[in-house]
Amino acid sequence: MRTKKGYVLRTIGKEYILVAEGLEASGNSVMISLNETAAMLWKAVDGKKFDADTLVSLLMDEYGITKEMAEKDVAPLLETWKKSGAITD
Amino acid sequence: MSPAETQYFTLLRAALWDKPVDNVSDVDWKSVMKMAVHHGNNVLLSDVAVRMEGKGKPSEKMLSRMQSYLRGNLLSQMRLRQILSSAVSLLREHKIEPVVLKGFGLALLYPNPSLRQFGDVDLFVGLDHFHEACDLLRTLPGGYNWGNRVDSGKHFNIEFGEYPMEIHRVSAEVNDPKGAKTYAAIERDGLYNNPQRVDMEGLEISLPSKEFMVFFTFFHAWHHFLTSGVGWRQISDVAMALHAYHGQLDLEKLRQWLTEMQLMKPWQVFGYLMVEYLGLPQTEMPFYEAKSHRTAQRLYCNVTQTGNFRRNSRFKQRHPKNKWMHKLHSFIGVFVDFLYRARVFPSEAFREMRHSFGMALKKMGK
Repeated sequence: MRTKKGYVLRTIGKEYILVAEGLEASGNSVMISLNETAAMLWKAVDGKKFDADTLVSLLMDEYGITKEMAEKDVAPLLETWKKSGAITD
Repeated sequence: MSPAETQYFTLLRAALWDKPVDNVSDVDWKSVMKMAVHHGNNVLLSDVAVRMEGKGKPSEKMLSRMQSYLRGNLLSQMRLRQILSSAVSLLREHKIEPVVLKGFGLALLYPNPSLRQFGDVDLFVGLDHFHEACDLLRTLPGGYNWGNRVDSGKHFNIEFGEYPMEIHRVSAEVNDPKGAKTYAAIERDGLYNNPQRVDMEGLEISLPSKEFMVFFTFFHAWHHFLTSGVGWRQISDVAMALHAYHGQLDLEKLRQWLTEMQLMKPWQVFGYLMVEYLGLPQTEMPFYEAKSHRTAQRLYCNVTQTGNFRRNSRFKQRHPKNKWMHKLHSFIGVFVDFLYRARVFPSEAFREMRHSFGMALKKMGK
């Protein structure tokens, strides 16, 4: 999968928000609030090809957690990104 | 300067230069944010405020209002960016390259572009492509206009819900014929002949040349001062442009443009404010003149009392309901505004007053 062009990560105050701004996202009024971890993952994979394992590895490297814990965190995050149209297969 | 004003500038400088806020405690947030709203930079200050810890931190109620400023602005920028992307793409399909003016381009010069407020899309297409561009852009989904090809001598307006797009055939209107001719030559150089291509997070856009960005941003602030009231946001824009392009500007060209348009004195007075109040390093302010301090002090009072679009003007806030009294009120308003401006730049204010007075008389007759 890949992040969709036109989705930009914005920082306002202490919040990270993924915003659908580009032509490809036109008419799609999406703003997704991300926590610091999700924002870190988005920045790492933005514009690149990735899969669930990529995110899991990133989490394990960054926070030193087990694979199981990382997978638990990644699954709902990917679901949110997919549902909002921020990533494509 | 009142304590609230001191706090406002401390916070504004922290926002402009992306630095931590120091030496601020017991902030009078109500007064500071009121001032920020009047000057069009409440989003910028809200961002600083919500990140603050400790004693100076705003109350929960104030924080909640600030969060809504921030989110509202993000939502509005998202929609405007979508409109801009569609417009640029459509025009390019027809071999028209628009130059993005004001909001979007200026936002890129700030440390965090998402925080510079603006409410519309401004596209310069020039005289040759003007009608074709208007016809194309009115076909964009969601666009609405009143069927007129030209709304003003300067631009054509299309509304996308609450978000307007202005299509410019000229970037500014200049009242006197000699000044208009000089301005047209500057515009040709900075907009037609030497635009810069920049990447706006995945969308490539054309902006005016760096010199024109600085010149036009100042000219716009100056025009605001002479007509509708200038706020600290417009003055901050000039400071941000000078900072972003420091060391890259053709200063001789800038000097020539300012001199030819008889703007060097106002430039130096505004420059004094940028250095003293906004924290622009003096070395980044071309043609800095310390002797401007007296006039600058009067300009400071004018800017602080008036605000962006005269939002802070008591005269503007109290309009009578009766139609004729309303017209008379507006008419007197023009004169009172002239007196305020004349304290700072008498001859320039007088020239503008002559023009506005004529317009106001026409309005009264309608």
